[in-house]
Amino acid sequence: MKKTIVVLLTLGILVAGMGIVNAAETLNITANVQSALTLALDPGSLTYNDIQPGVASAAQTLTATTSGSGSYHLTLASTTFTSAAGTQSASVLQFKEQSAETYKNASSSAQNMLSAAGTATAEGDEKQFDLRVNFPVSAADGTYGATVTITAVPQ
Amino acid sequence: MENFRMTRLFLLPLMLLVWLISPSDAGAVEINGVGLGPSIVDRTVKPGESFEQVFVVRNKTAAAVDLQSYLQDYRVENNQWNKVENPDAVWSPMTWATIISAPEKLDPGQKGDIRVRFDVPENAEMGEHVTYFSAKFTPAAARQEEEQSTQITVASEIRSIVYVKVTDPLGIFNLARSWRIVKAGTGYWHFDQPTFTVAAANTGNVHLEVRGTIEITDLIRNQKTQLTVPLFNILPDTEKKMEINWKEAPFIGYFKGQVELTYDGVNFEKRDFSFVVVPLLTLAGTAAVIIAIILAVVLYIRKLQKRLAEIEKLQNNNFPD
Repeated sequence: MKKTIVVLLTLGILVAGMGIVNAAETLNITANVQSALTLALDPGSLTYNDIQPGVASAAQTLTATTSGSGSYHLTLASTTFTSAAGTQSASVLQFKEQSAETYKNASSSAQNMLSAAGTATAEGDEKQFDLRVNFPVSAADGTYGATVTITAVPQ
Repeated sequence: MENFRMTRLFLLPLMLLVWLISPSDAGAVEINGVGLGPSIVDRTVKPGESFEQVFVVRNKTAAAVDLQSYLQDYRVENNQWNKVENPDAVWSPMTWATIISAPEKLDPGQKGDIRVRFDVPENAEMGEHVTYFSAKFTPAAARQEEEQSTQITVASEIRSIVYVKVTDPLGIFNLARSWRIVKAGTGYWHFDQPTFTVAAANTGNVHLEVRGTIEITDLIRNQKTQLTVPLFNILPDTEKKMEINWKEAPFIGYFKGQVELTYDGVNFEKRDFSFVVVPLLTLAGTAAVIIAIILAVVLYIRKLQKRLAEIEKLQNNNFPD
């Protein structure tokens, strides 16, 4: 008798549970999903010490992680390098994808950094770049500063 | 013992039920950085209508960031993003946009809304127009400068593409892209650096962005050169001319050329032509030399004829018949 009660109780709970689950499946949900891109740059600033004019500095790595969905491009633009001693053009900064052979000179106009568009993922699509500075021989001694803008653009 | 078994039998389906109805974690991955959404905006409007678009910005970094937002039309050529010069309010969504409100700074973990209103003018050209909304995030912390160093602040920027489809006043979107190439090539004779002329007429109802290349083959030296026809816009029912100067043209030569033009980047219209480059001074100098030689030969022959006539006359005088 007790067994019968337990079996009935078990069946009842399971059927009730399935009913709840089924009810949840038929629930209408309206969600306003908007695509978005997130860009994480590491590091947030780069410091090059003891630069010899006319000699390219050692490269430093910049990692850009783009998350979201869809294809994207990364662009780079730089301001001029300014110091108390004067200014130097944006082309002082040189960059390349780590897998690339040659460096490109930066400019005030944004340039594509990737040879082919990347694909943003939920986990983040990671791209690594080498950045270095190469001041002309005529550059005056001083502490130079510039702002480099890395832009993620959906395609 | 039996009671325990019974309890277990009772508990098992209960646990199963709890597992079935409990909410599951989707396993979301949290990425640091700054974000902007939506990535793509696609709106369809009638001329004279307005709409508002909200962009959401997020700062998921550990530091505060300064925020700048702006709209800009770009055209990409040779991997470079060039700002569109003198955009026309008839087709440029950038000129229709006003940023109504935007946060200037975002603290760590903070989210903000940027509201942009687009007022489409009455004379807006029917068609699909594109502009870019950008949010630039610059680290708010002052940079530390060191002696004899170069300090580069890295700013993050994210763009959203904004497509605005403008219909006719009745809300019908009937896009017609068509054109007619009026001229593509150059004259035959050139006494200086050749200039190529490209002229096209827009016969459709939407502005066209024409670009292309000119391939030149040097038939004497068997060399090829490619010139770029810079991108230019043509509004409907108008004709536009573009002139491209070949500054590195050889001193002299015979060439064949082919102009390839496109307004969609897929279909190319081709035109073939040929031309000669001869420097005018060289040509004039050569002609002068040739004329001088001919004159010299003529004069020499005349002189010889004169001398022959004199000799014959002298012989006739000495030996009369």
